[in-house]
Amino acid sequence: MNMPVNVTIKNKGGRIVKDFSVSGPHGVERILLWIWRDLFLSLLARGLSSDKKKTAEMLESVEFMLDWTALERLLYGGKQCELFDMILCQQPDLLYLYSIVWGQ
Amino acid sequence: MTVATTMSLMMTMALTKIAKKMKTKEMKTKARMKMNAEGMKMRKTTDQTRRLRVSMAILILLVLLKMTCKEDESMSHSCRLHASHWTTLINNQRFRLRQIVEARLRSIFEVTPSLPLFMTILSISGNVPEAQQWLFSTISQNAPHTSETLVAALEIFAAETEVPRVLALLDSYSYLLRPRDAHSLQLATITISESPKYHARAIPIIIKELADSIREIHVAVRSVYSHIDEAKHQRELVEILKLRAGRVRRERMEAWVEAVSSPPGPMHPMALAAAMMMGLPIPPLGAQGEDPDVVAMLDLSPAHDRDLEDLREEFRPRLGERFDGWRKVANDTKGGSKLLADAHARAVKLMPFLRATDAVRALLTEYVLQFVFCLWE
Repeated sequence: MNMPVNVTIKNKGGRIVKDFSVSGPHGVERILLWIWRDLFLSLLARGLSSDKKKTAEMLESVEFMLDWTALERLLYGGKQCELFDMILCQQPDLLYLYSIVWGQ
Repeated sequence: MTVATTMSLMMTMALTKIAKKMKTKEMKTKARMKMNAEGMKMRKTTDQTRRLRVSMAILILLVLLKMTCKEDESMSHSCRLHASHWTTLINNQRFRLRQIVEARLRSIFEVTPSLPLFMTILSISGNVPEAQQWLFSTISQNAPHTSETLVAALEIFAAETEVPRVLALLDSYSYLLRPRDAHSLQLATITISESPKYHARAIPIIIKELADSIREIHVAVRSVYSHIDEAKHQRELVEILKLRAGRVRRERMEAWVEAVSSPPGPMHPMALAAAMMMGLPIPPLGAQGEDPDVVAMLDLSPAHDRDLEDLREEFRPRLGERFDGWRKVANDTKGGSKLLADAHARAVKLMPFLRATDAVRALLTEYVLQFVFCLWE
């Protein structure tokens, strides 16, 4: 369960874009979600309009394989959003404050 | 395009600098204030000012975050949705991706709402007030549809301390709550009892739930000791409890337990329930020629099928856990100790054997013996 996994992602020019060193299946999930995010963004930026329409469907299959929490993690490149989680989950009252500051 | 980019970049940097300056300035004024305070020999920092400082710091943090992310929205650095290797073209798409994800999460929320999902949608949304309004109206609309949606609504409104909404739901739809939703109802009750305005409304809920728990435990006990409520056995118990501890008392107690026990036979589901409640091992049902499905249903592994939850509950109702939860709620509520004393009196009246630990122990021993006997046959 704790097998170390090292993955390096390089761009066309051979420059290292991202270096992952994770352990176990959960860590691999994180890498996959990171790749999914880049794929989705590229699709939305450069894909055909017919492909763009399929984005929602493809997201649903990611959700089907993992669960809905994976969709949130996908947005953050596989990571949980620590800062916001910390503030919002431990202090639900701050949600209100947060909505005042953030919203408008 | 490039000019615009550099312009916005410069703007970001300038704004971040200003923000930093503001921060250092504030720190300086804070330090000066501190020195002044010390000069005035106000050495004691009260909790209140400390709390104020913490909330000030959080506010500043949020404002700063907002500033950086606003820049980000106009295309640039340092946001949690961002990766450094993206080109502007790619970068600009992430708000669309966020929109799509939010739309998907909202459609899940419409069908299976839950507190974690609620928190997630709020945290990723680009327009929090709108999202919150949508979430509140959706959950209020769907709450009466099923037990699950009602539980989710209770949890959400309790977490957001929307006490009037919690009360409105409980007033109209509490019949939807199942015994296994006790934990959510307990959380909602704690929220109610903590609100200064509606505190009194928590009391009747606690009274009712304590009484219900005791009644159900009584039913479970009766299923194993079916003669326990008969007048002659009740009289005998009173006599035994008057005796001093010793051999005579022990022997009469054993005879009494034997007399009140249910006639032997295949284990009744409620007897099983009682066993589970007391944390005793359960006999292998298959050996008694029971339906193997029943065994599968009682499977204690965490990855069990959620569809069977209702049936499982009937066989394993976690009565002890539920009662204990309500006991804790009552303990945390103002005036709750009186309710607990009343509940205790009622429990002892229903089940007089609770007054003596040796009687409870004798009943349990008899139960274990029966269980072993069951295995033998």
